[in-house]
Amino acid sequence: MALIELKSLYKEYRSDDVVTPALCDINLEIETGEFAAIMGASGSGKTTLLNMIGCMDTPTKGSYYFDGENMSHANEHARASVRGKRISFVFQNFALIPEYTVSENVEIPLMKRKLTKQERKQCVAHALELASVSELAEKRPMHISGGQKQRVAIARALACGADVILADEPTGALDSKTGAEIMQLFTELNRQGKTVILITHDQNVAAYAKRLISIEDGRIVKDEKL
Amino acid sequence: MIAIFEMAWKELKKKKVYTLLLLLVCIIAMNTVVTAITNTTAERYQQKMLERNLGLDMQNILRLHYTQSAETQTFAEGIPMYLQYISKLNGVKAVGQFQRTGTHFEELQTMDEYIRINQVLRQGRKYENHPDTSDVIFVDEPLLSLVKTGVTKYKKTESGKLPIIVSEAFRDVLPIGMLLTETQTKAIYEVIGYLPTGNQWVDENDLVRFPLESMDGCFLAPFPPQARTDILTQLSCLHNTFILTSEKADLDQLMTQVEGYSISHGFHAVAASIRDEYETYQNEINLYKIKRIALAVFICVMAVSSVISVFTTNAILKQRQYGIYLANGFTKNEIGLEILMEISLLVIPSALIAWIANLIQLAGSDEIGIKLFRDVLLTAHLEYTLPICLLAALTVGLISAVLPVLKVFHNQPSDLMGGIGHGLD
Repeated sequence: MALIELKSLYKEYRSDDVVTPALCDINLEIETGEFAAIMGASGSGKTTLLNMIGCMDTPTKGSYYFDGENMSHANEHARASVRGKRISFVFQNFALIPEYTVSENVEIPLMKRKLTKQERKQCVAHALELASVSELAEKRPMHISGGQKQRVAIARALACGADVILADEPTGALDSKTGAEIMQLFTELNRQGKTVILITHDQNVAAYAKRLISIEDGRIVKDEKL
Repeated sequence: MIAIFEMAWKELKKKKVYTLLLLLVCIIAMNTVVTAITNTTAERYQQKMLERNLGLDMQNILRLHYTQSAETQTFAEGIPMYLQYISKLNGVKAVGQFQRTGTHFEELQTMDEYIRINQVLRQGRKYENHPDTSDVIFVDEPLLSLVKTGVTKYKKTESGKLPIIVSEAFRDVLPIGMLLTETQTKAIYEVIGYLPTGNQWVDENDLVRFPLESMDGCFLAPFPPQARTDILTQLSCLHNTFILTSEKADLDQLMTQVEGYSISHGFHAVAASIRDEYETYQNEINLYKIKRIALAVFICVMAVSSVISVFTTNAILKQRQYGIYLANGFTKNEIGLEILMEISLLVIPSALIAWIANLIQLAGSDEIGIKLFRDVLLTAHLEYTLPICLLAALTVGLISAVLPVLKVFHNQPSDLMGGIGHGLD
C-alpha cells in the first residue's frame, strides 16, 4: 500500500456561481522514501495538489488516503494530527513568524506535544543542527539571510519528526548557489528516509528528484522515474 | 491547553505596548463596571440585610412621622397617651420607641477595665474619644421584636430595678446582678444578661436610607420612667416610633385612625409602612442608579468595541500566522481558543485589577458617602462583585472573540496561508 494515494480526486473553487476546476481526476501514488517533484506552469494546479496531500484543503470529489487512512473524509482533528506529526511543510517564502526567534519558530510543531521544556529544547537544538543553523537560534528571521531562513524552515519541518516533507518552490526566493545548497539538504534528508515532495517550475531543481510528475490544467500529464 | 496558553502569552508578550494600552482601556472600563456592580449589589444587600434583621415583614411595620409637633411639655406628656391609644387599635401588635444614645453610668466612670475594653470597641466609631460613655439603645419592651436580636422581652429583676442587657464583650467586668446608675436620671439598672456579638440594630436617623448598625459593645435597656415625660427624650424619639401590626391588619383604616387622633389633639402625625418608605427611597435613587448603570454600560461597550476592533484587525493581520500554526498541527478550534485566551488574558486580569483597586478605594476612602456605607459596600464588594465582575469579563472576552474567531473558521488552512507558497516573509 502506498503512503500517499489519490484516487479520482477533483477540486473546484466556486465564487458567485462560477466554478473553476483546479484539479481533475488526479490519480497518484507515492511510496515511502520517494523524492518526487511536481512540475507545472503557474495556475496548473500544483499548489492545490500539494494542499490536498498536506491536508491543508479538502477535495471536492474523490479520495485521498494517507498511510491507508481516508483523509478526504477525516475530521479537522485527524487532519491536523497528520499535519503536525506525519507531514511537514517548507514554504517558498519560509513562513516564519517575524516576531519569534528562530528557536521559537522551530518549536511551533512541538508545542502540542507532551514534552518537557528541556525535551523540547533538545528537539529544537537537534533540528537546528541537522539544518546547520544552530548558531542562529536566538536571532529573529529579519536578521538572517534568505538561505538561512529556508534552513530554519527545514529545521522546523524536521523538528516534528514527520516522515513526509512537502516543499512548495523551496528555492524560489533564493539565489542559485543557496538554492543548490537547500536542494542538497533535501537530497540528504531523502537519503535518510524522508519522503520529499516538492513543487517547482525549475528543471534544475526538479533534477534532484527521483520522480517527476508534470501537471497541466489540473491534470497529471506525465509521471516518470528519473 | 498549556500549548494554547503558551501561544496566547507569547502573542501578548511580543506586543508589549499594545498589550499595556489595551489592558489600561480594559481596567478603566472594568473599574466602572465594578463600581456599578458594587453599588447596585450594596443596595440589594442593604435591603436584604434590613429584611433579614427586621422582626416582621416591612409591610407590617409602620413608622410615625410627625409633620406638626410642638416643643412643649404638654406635647411631650401627650405622646405616651397617643401610643397607648395606638396600641389598642385593631391589628396593632405593638407600639413603641427607641433611642440610641451615649449614656453615663456612675459605676463605670472610674472602672478602668470597662474603660479599656470600651476604648477598644469604640475605635473608629461613635464616642471614640469618650470611652467612659456607654452606647445604650433604649427600647420599649414591645418594640424589642422590631429587630431580630434574640431578645424579645426584658427579664424581670428580683430587686425591682430596671433591667439592662450588656454586650458580651463586658461579660468579665459587668457581672449579672451588678447595678448601674444612670447619671442624669439616677435611674438604677441591674445587669440581667449579655447581648451576643454580631447583632445589628436599625439606624436611629433613617433605617431605610442608612445601613444597619452593629450592636457590639452596646447596652440594651428600657427607657427610665422619667423619660416618658421628658421633653428632650420624647422629641428625639419622634421619628423612632414604630407600630408593629398583624398580617391581617387593615392598614388603611389604622393609618386613618392614627392620623385622626393626632389632628384631634392639636398635632399632626401620619403612619407609613417601611415597605412604602423603601419604595419611595428606591424611586428617589432609581434615576441616579440608571444613569450610573448606563455610564458603566456605555464605557463597557466602548471598551468591548476597542477590544473587538483591535482583535479583529489583529486576526486579519495574523491570518498567515494562524495558517502557519494550522500547517504545524494545530486545529481551527485551538486557534479559536488561542484568540479567546489572548483576550481573556487581558480582560480577566483587568477585571481583577479593577476589583482590587475598588476594594482599596472602599477600604481607605474618607469620602463621606463611602465612609457611611463602608461595611455594606465592602460586604457587597467582597461577596458579590467579584463573581459578577469575572462573569462580565468572560462575557466581554467571548463577545470580543466572536469576529476574530469567525475570520479563522471561515477559511481553509491553505487560504489563511494565502496559498501554500505565497507567504509574506
